[in-house]
Amino acid sequence: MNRISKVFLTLALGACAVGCYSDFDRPAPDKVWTEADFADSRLISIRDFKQLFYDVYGHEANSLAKTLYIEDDYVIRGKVISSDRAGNVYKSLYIYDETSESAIELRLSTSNYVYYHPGQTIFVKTQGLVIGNYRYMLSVGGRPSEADLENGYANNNLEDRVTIEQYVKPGAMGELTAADTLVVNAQNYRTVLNDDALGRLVRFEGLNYRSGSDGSDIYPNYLETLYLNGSSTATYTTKYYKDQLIPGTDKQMPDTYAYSYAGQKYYGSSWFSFFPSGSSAEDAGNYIARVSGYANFALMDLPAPGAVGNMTAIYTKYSSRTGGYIKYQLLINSREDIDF
Amino acid sequence: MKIKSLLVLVLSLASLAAFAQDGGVKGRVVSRAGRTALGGVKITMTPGNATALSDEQGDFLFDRVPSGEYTLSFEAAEFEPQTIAVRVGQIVRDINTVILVPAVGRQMIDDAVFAEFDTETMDDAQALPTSLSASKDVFNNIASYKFSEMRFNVRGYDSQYQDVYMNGIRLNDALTGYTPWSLWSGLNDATRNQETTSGLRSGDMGLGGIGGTTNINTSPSQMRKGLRASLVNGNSMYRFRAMVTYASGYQDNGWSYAFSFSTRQGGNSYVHGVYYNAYGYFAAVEKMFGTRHRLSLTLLGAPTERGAQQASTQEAYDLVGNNYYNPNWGWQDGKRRNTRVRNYHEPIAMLNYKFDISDRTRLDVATSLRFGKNGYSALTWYSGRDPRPDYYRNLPSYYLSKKNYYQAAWLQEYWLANTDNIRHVDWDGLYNENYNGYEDPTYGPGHRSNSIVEERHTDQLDWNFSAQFSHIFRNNSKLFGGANVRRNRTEYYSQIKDLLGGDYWVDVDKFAERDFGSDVLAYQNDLDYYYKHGHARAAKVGDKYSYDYYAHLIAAKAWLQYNVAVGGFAMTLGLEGGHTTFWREGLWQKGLFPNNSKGDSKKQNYWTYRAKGNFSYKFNAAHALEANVLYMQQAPQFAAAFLSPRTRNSATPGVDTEKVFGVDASYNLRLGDLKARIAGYYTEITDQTKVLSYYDDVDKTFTNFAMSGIDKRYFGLEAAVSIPIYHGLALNGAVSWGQYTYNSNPFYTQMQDNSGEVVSQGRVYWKNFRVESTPQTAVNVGLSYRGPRNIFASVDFNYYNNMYLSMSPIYRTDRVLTAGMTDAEIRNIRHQEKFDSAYTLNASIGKNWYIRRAYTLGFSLEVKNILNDQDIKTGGYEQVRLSKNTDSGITSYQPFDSKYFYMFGTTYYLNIYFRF
Repeated sequence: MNRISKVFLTLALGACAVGCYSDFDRPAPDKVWTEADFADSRLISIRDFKQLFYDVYGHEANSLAKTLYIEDDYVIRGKVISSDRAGNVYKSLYIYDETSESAIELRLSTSNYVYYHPGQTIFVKTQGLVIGNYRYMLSVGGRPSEADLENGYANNNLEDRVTIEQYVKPGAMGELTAADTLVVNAQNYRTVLNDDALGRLVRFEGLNYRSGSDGSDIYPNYLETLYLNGSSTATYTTKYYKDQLIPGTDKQMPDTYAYSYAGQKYYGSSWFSFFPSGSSAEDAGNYIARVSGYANFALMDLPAPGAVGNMTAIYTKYSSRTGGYIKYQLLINSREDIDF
Repeated sequence: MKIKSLLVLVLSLASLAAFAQDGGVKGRVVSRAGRTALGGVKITMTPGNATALSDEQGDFLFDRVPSGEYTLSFEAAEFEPQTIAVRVGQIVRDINTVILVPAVGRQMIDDAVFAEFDTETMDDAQALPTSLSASKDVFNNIASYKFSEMRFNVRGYDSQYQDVYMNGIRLNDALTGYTPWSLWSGLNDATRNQETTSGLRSGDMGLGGIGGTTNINTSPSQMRKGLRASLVNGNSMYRFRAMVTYASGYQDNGWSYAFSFSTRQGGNSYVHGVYYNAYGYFAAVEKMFGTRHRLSLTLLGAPTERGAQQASTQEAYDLVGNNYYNPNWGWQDGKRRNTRVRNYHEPIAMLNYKFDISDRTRLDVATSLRFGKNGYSALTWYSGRDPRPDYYRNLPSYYLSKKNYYQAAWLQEYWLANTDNIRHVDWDGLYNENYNGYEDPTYGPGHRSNSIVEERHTDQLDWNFSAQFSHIFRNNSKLFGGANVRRNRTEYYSQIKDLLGGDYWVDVDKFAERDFGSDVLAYQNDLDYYYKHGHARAAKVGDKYSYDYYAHLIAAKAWLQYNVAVGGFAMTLGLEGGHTTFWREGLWQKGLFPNNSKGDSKKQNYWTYRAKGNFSYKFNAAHALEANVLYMQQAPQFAAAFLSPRTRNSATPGVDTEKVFGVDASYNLRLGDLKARIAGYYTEITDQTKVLSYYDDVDKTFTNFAMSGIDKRYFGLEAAVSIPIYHGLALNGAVSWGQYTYNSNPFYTQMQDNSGEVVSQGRVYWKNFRVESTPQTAVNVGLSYRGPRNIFASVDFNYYNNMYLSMSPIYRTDRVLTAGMTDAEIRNIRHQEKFDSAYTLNASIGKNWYIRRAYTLGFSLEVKNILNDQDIKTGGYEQVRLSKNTDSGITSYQPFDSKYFYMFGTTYYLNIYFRF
């Protein structure tokens, strides 16, 4: 028996010695990229980078849907100023270069907030990427497919991990400071706010919430998007909250930032203006807050008509496909940026 | 009593050698199965080496034996040798019955062969073979062992149709019906004593179903006495296995005991990231009181940790350059880390009481308890990219389908070159996300983890009680029956296994948060916690999260069988009736279903019954016919009876009892060593229920897809032959030809998981399509050699055909049809893939040596797939998801690529054993 016990004991000890399958050290933090890593590349400001596009295609309507292929080893650097954590920003990351006071959109995948943090510096190796112009907004992305071009998109999103990591190099963490936000009010908007600020984080102070018709459109509204009879092309219908009942109830739908009921999510548009009355949404000093039905503040009540408040948002521009009907749209990062 | 005392006194005195007079020993040898008398058993008494043969009644006698200690050895063809110790006094001592156990004709299969077969929609259930047990039957030996390389299911049945007992208690999983082999995996020696019936034959422990019965007997008194040790080295499942077993045999003082220990370690030569870190322990003790009462206690368990393999698409296999690519692992700390690790330890404690009321009447009472933990890990993430490397958006085909050829070409390059380990899980990236995770003081200090490793638990408490009796009448007819009660409570929950560098995980339902983001209550997993603390749980390592509920089951049944033989005709008739109740008990109140998630669900009650008849006619010793018939109605499995048990109490629409009708008939031939059998069978299974939970791309929401009225039909022929050729060389062969089809277009209801709303209803059009997961044609031709000096060798050629891919029912519904689809397009989307036929060549060799007539040393070496064919599909399934094609102006749907498992190339398994 004694011998048997010894055999068992030896086996047990031997077996325990090899049982180390789930013992792993924590990985080291990722490399923090700095300018020194791009000494062999051409580090240029975002303003200059955008200028590469404008130099070729100009600023006018005929530059829409145009694509500039970046063949030189240009690197841009900027601070992250957007967050898709609240679900309103979608597949985009906006970076701001304080030296040139210019910002640009990177077309990436979803949930960028997991990988890139507001205030963090990001470097983008742009060689092999393209600058595309979608309704006056320039963005950096991948080469467009034929289908993209047919649909008026001038570039494509970078979606998979390895592709993104080939081009986007995260740098040091940081904070967004007051200097990173352009402050605009009723007195200065005509002077400080122009198309150079597209893609920048802008704080609008003293905005009036407007409800009703601007002469051509009625606000607030939402854009019902349906694929009828299996069609792959959506049918868009502008609808008004006040005309609708909350699905499954007999309650009138309140005015909210977007539509999110019964599993359906539609974009909402609401009108903010430096003018308490008069003016049109297409006039300077008027802005449309365009909010996704996926935003976690989609069902937040809009301010009472006539309310005055502040809003911080990415400043963007939108037009018809041919470049007309220009409106400036506000892309809100989170509900904390709405101060009404 | 006085006589007994006197006997004791006399026996004691007899040990005083000085006064020793001659006595003797007598008894009766019977087989364990059915207690039938065994004649012609050779019994050797040592010291002295006197021998005797048992007569037709099994009786034997040694008389005029000097007093003292003796050993009796029993040897009979097809039975395990048995040795018992006796003390002989001055009179002839009656040691009553000596039970011989049928020999196991071959090596047992390790359940590891099958264990890694996981799919997305089976809720992580293990797919197990219908038979891992030994059998004397010429066909089943080949079918269950030699065809196991192809995951062959005898007659096409799922494992739940085979009843597996241990010491008379049926241990198939109470909630899924699966066979319980994994509970004692690695304990091959301790579980070697098995009695099996095949097909529709009844067992001694109960009527059984259509897939045969196996009873594992762990009584230490019936184990071969002595020590056995073995060491395995192989490259197909694990690298090493070590096993030591000791059995005392039946001792004169009435005690016997046995224990066993084993370990299996390492991975295999083909799939990376897969490993075993498994142990097994077994201890049993038995005491015989008087000559008629035996009490035994058994404890066994198999603490096991093992990394799993996941199937992938052919695109991924081709990009990686081999068919054994496993997307489950990634590099961390210079080592391969698997995301999917099974970790379980579910001991069984069992108490058995056997009472030989008389030579003809017997009572067995048994009770068992299964307890412990069973976890299976997986990556889970709150937002961000899907971390699975072979996620469809990470593969070139996704970009090709969007006509983005440029990106597709780049991705192809990245995969071919494994750029940045694109083929593997990016553990470093996941940790770094969490290092920098969002900080929210609501949940305390630290960073919120975005990706974690969770461990999904199925922790059972399973109690069984069984009482059985048998009585053999004067005319040798036999009445046997029993009653069983089962109470099972299984806790299902998930717990945090690793926060991957973050500090906590916020326990909310991310899908509900996306859909009902402005209603904070709606996306709480545990409302009680939320009300108490004002926020969701910040779960730490070891905390339960996401869901927590009990499955309760109470089942009772009673059965009776009567066996009679007149001349060559024999018949066994059996009846069984029972009742099963089960219900869900939610432990958490879920935000989405506050009134239907916590507390007990409505109890589901089912009456169950079965009736069986076995008939046989023996023309003579050489020819025999047999026919069997069965009808049964059984309760549905818990897993299929609830629509979304992780979230709520709702029952599956249309859930009902399952009905099985089966007949088979066979002809057996035995001429000396020539054995042959041919059999035909027909089985119908009706009213099965099944639930799939998956992300629906048509409606862009997580849904539960409940099917009811699934009917299947199985019929076929099986034949086997073993022909002695020359001096130990034999030719053997087997053919299994079957046709297993779905026999109805089941009704389905698809519901949104978030709301319970019906998304769609209709039928799944798959009538006459094939049942998946097993070759429906399998052929074996082999030569075996058993030579002098204990040499044996074999070579086998196997051929397989008619094996089909597991179907996603969604592709066979009207939901995926779009306007303008042609008949050919509809046929195309509903088409079921048939795998190419395949053949393999296997061989084995072995020898053992008797050393000093006391020790045995031996080895066996088995080499499989000698032709090293690495393109043999052994299984696979269609993904349930669909991709949307919006090119044509009309939305149409394309199935995602299917996923496959392949047979390994050449593997070997070397076993060296020693026993005395």
